[in-house]
Amino acid sequence: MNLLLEPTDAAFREEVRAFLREQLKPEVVRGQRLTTAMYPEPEISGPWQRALQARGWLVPLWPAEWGGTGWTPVQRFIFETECALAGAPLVHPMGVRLVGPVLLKFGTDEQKRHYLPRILSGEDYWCQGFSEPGAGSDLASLKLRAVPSGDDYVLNGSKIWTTHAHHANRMFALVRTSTEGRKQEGISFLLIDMESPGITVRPIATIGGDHDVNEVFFDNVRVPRANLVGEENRGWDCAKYLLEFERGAGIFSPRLRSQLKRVGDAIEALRARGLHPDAALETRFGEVAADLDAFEMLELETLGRLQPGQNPGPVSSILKLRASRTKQAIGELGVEALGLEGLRWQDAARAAESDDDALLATVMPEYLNSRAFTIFGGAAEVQLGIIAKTTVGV
Amino acid sequence: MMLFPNEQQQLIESSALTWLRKEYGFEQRVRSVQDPHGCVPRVWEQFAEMGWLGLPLPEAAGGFGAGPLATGLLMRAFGRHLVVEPFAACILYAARLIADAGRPDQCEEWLPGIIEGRMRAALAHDEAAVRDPHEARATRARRIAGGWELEGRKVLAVGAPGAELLIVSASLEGSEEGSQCGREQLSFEHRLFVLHPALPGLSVHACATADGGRAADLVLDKVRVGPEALLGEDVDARAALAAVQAEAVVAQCWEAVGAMQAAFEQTADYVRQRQQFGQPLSKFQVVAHRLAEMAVQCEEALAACKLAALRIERGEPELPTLASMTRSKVGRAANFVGKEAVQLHGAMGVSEELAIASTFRKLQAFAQLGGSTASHSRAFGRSMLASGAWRASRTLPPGTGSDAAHKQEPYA
Repeated sequence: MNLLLEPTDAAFREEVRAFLREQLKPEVVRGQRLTTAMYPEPEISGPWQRALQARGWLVPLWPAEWGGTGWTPVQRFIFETECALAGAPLVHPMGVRLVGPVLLKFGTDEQKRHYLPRILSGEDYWCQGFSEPGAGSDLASLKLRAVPSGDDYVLNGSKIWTTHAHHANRMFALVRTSTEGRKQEGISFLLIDMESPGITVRPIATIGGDHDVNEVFFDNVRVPRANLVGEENRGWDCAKYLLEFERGAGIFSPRLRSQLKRVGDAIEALRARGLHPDAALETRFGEVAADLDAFEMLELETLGRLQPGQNPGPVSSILKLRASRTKQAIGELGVEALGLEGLRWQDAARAAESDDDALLATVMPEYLNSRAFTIFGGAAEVQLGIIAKTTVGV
Repeated sequence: MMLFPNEQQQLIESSALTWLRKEYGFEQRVRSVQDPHGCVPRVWEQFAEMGWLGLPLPEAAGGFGAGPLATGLLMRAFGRHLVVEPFAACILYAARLIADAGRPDQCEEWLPGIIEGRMRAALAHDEAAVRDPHEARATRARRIAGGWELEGRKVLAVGAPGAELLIVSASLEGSEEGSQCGREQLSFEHRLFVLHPALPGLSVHACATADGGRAADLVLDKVRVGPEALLGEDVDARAALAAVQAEAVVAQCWEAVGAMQAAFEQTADYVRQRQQFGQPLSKFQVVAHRLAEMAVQCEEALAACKLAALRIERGEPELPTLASMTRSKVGRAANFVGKEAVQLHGAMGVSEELAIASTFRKLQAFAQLGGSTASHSRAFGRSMLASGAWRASRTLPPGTGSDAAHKQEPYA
């Protein structure tokens, strides 16, 4: 067992670093650095997505014919680490990481030819229509009705917590096409044009003061039946496959370290103003940094054992749980360091005074938003249930 | 990058587990706990026969020269079986100090006997009034005509009862002159001395320890020794001591993880069998979730141990910092897992009917040794905030030349 880089991996890392030096623009880094919401705005992530696509590095996990890179898991880890630590923005995952793999597995040739190139180019910006007011952790109890009518389905109902629905021109959604049998068996996976008449997007303000999520209402919205992915009433298969990617294909630790860098920068900015870390803060910093080191090793080891294209399976619940809690712990460390300064709320004039002030203004919103990380994508309690069942056997 | 233990490492672990299952069951452990030295001679001889006493010692002295990962795997097996014999104290601390700091003639004189199990050495470093294992000792070494005079008191030297050699640390008298700063800034030097327990002026008071082992308090009342008693050359021993302590702390974290994993498995078995309110305890969600939390803590603690061992093998320069990272993570995880294991066993958890109480005491003893968990968290935090080393990946090796510059935010 060792943590040494093979010459080919070391060379690969150099290649990634050279690319970052050339293509990652300071304004994009700054945009990501000041982002407190879950995902950066399209004007920050968009240029970066195009740079990655131009280099052929946007969709490492896709099949080679559609742009996949065939990287080993260690190479993916190197790539994600270099990007995150250089301050690159997160690529919006809804297209490339979520609906893309579903289309590759369940889509018709026509759907693939139509949608996949538009995902890669960034021409389509996707949102995910899964949760409903009455269907959160119990996703399969969703009710949004899709009733056949000629060549179309007619949709009535609503989706909630829809991230970036206000930016998206496409939605992939789970809709109810049957109320017979088990609730999982009456669900279909549908692609929806957000410009369709009858769709209303209502913003939902969230705890950190950002506009990330929305409620989306459907009032007799007509969607062509050709937009069905997979078979009617078999959408749950698509959903399960997608959730595997949502939980399993991400590499969390580099992003967490980049978040800790921001907190560390805030601590330095405060130190420059004469506010030095005390023993309590040093202790908390040590705990959080040790947690992150251990998590990084766990994640790398888990990935390193995979064959290319393979998902980590149930251990991804451990990674998801620990990533979300570590994210919150880093955020909490930040607000602890901030002390009284954390009271300042949306003081735009102050934030505009200097780069340090702009940075300090991100700490509290980011912490507040981090509370959502143990809730979405399978709440912590859901992950604990999966861990208990699969790895503990109870 | 190789993320599995190699064949030799797997073999060390599997042969240790096989031997311990067969030879170190409940009754053998009771005999070891009852042994006046906490070290049954026949068991120690078998440790030697298995090659374990020389595992982390240099090949030149007859050892195997194995690295921290192999040592860690052995220690994890010892932790799983709650081994009482003072392997860490006598081999990972004392013998490693002789190997790392000793003069060639001292290594030749003592290491072969230690590796063959004919003699044991123990380190007496801790003192009642010093919490930090790196701070200056109150025990004094004074230069006198024809050698040294030692004066002071040592507490809880694990493995000292029955040891043929006692390694005693002492501050060099006069070395801290002129410094009036805070304690942490004090400049001082340490020396190490190898003493025979029967020396005039040296008294050894044995006691039992919470984990079933044995330790001793030492009183050094004007103990006079010749120059040959000095371990190594007449230079400051702090760096050698700190490096050995750091590696030993990492190994003891591996041992704690072994005990944690055993506690977790025993608890999972227990709640699957124990029926209350007409169903197994494991059917209650609150119980299932606690077990899941224990499993997660075990995984992360193990990952911290692996990271530390592999970084040492990669040539980590900052050993005490790395040890503090590991001790912070494993200390907190061990505390959580130990407490949950007892709680989920109900009254059985606080009785001597099952092994879980012994396991809890083992983990608590681990927490008492070598500085508190919080002090290690703080030491790690201080070091990280000062160096900024946490800004780069802690698993991928650092680059060289232009790579190092790359880490200094070229994009800002």
